[in-house]
Amino acid sequence: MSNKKAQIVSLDLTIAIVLFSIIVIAIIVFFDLFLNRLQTNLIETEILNNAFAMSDFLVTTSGEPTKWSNTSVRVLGLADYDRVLSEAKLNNLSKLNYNYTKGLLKIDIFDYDYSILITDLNKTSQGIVYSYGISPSPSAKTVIKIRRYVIFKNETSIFELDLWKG
Amino acid sequence: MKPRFLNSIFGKDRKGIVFTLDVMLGIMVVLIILTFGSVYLSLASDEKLGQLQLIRTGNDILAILDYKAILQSQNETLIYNEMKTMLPPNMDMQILIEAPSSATQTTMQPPPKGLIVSGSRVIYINGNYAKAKYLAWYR
Repeated sequence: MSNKKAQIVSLDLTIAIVLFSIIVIAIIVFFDLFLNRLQTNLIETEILNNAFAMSDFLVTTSGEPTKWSNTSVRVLGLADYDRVLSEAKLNNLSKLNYNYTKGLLKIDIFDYDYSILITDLNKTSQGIVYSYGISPSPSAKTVIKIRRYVIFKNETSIFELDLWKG
Repeated sequence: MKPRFLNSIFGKDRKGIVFTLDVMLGIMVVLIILTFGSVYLSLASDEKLGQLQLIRTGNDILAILDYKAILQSQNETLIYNEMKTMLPPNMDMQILIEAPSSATQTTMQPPPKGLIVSGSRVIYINGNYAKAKYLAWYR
């Protein structure tokens, strides 16, 4: 009789331990998932804010000095007027070292990469009129694509900025 | 005589189940909070990108129409057609121009529900300042 009692206690304990373990594992898995989501969300929000700010000052401001060249640039801005891009400034940008431009855009401290693509709105295919930077690699963890409407060479064009983190 | 372990479930020693139930409820609440938190985080991120993109597109279109002096024409059809050439397929927009002596509005009406963003720009028409406003939304 006393042996049977011990068996019951043992079975009870085993079931309790199994249940407890399942619950603890479930909580750990859920908490880990939650933390991952939270971290991804924070990184995405940070890149998103930087991408919109970057696209804003590239397409709406003229930079510093106003008529900068590849040797005199202090602040990057690609516009002659609000949303009207300057061909001369885009040509000067192409002459600048990519890593140097990351410093000018203050994105080197975040370890971001970027690419700029301008396409003619009226051409459905092969309408690329300008490109610069490094396109997102397939292994990039977070990529933010911003699409802005601009005037370039007197045509309405699409200015696409990809800001990404590898 | 009922065995003691059965008493703990069905009998007079049922106090233990109260604690178990308490723990189970506590765990369920934690799991529910974590699940809802994860879902909310992913939804909030998507919504923020969509909203910011909508605002920028609206502002860009208004600025380009201003630069091309199409807003200044106050021609509703011309404004609508030019706006349509720029609008992405998943987006719609309404433009309203309030000049001192007149008002022009494009025909597209915003939906009663859903995300709608707005913005405005001061423009210059025939020597007077006017206000160009837009409402933009996803289809």
